[in-house]
Amino acid sequence: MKKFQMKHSTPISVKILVVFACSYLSVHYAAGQLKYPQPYLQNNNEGLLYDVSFQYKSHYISGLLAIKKEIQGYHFVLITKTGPTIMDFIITDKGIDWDKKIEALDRPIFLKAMEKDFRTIVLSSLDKPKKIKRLRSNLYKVRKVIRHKVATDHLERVLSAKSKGLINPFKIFATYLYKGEDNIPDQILVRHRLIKSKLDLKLIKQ
Amino acid sequence: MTFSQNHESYTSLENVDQLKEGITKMAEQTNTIKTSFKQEKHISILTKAVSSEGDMVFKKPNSLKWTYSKPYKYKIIFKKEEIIINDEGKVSKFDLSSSKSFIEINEIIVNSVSGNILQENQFSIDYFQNGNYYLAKMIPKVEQLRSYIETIEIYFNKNDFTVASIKLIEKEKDYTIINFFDNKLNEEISDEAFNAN
Repeated sequence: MKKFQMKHSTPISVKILVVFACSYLSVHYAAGQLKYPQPYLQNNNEGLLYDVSFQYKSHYISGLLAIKKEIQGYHFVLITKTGPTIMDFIITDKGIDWDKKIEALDRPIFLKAMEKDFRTIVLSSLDKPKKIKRLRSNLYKVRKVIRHKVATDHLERVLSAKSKGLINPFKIFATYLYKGEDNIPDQILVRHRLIKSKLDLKLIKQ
Repeated sequence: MTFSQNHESYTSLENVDQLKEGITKMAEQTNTIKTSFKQEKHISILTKAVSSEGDMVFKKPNSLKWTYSKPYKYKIIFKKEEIIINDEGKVSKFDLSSSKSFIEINEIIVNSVSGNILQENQFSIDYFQNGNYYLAKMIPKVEQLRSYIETIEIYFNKNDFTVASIKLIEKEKDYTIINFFDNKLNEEISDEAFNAN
């Protein structure tokens, strides 16, 4: 009897292997096929409108930001509250295609930071499921286009996104707030580690 | 029916001098304007227009205040050489000379509501009319302004030559329409009315 038990018990190494395999499969099942955070503009055909304000030190500007996902990429139109369009651009996989921009802001370092902020706002990094890795329940690591660590709620809606980089002064901390059960954020806050700035977007329901 | 939907019913205006004289006379006789407005911004990427509304006050020579009450609280005051903005209680000031485009847009608005807009040295203007309105379609001659605004359409009430509506077309599907109503001319407006609070 004793011999029989010994013969048919599973070695510890096999058990570990099975646990790892199950873990591996569950991660890929979650990230690749069924449950993983989706960009909230994925199935939105009407476009979204946000009341947006930007605070940098003592400077403060505000306007309205329209966002829509199109075939080429994420289309942003920033208008003043009095009407005129001040910025109109599409963020693609390769960069920004400009239609209208403010000359005063036309500096490479600013435009690069702005691109990262706007990619974070729309969570474009979630467009590529293969680049999403589940770390644990409701926590994901995204590798493209921006390296993000993304936390979600029980509905897999993104609650926060934090860019990677220990010595990155532009490190982004973004939070997404929801009032209802839908996946459209009612408020988005974007901050940076060493820069005293705050980008605050509040959804306008029309 | 909006003015743009009514566009087909406009015909070319033959007697342009009559319109110009009416506007000049109205501008000369008007020292203050109080009016309410509804604004619609159309953007190609949004299926619905961005709608807002509020009140506007103007006092000669160049004090202008827009107060947006819905869907956001926002005030913008053009006074002498500066712009003051009160955005949900946050007040900021800008020097008008720092932004050429702001100066030009401000001038358009001030000239529109004061009836002094038909400046043919700055715009190529075509004139139209229907039963209720005169329409001036203005294309900026200055390159810098044209880079912001393709065409401006000003609709004047035929009965008193006040501005009924302004349409700022930035490009084909990107435009703003501001409709004015409840116009009150020459009511007393104190200088305090142009404060940011």
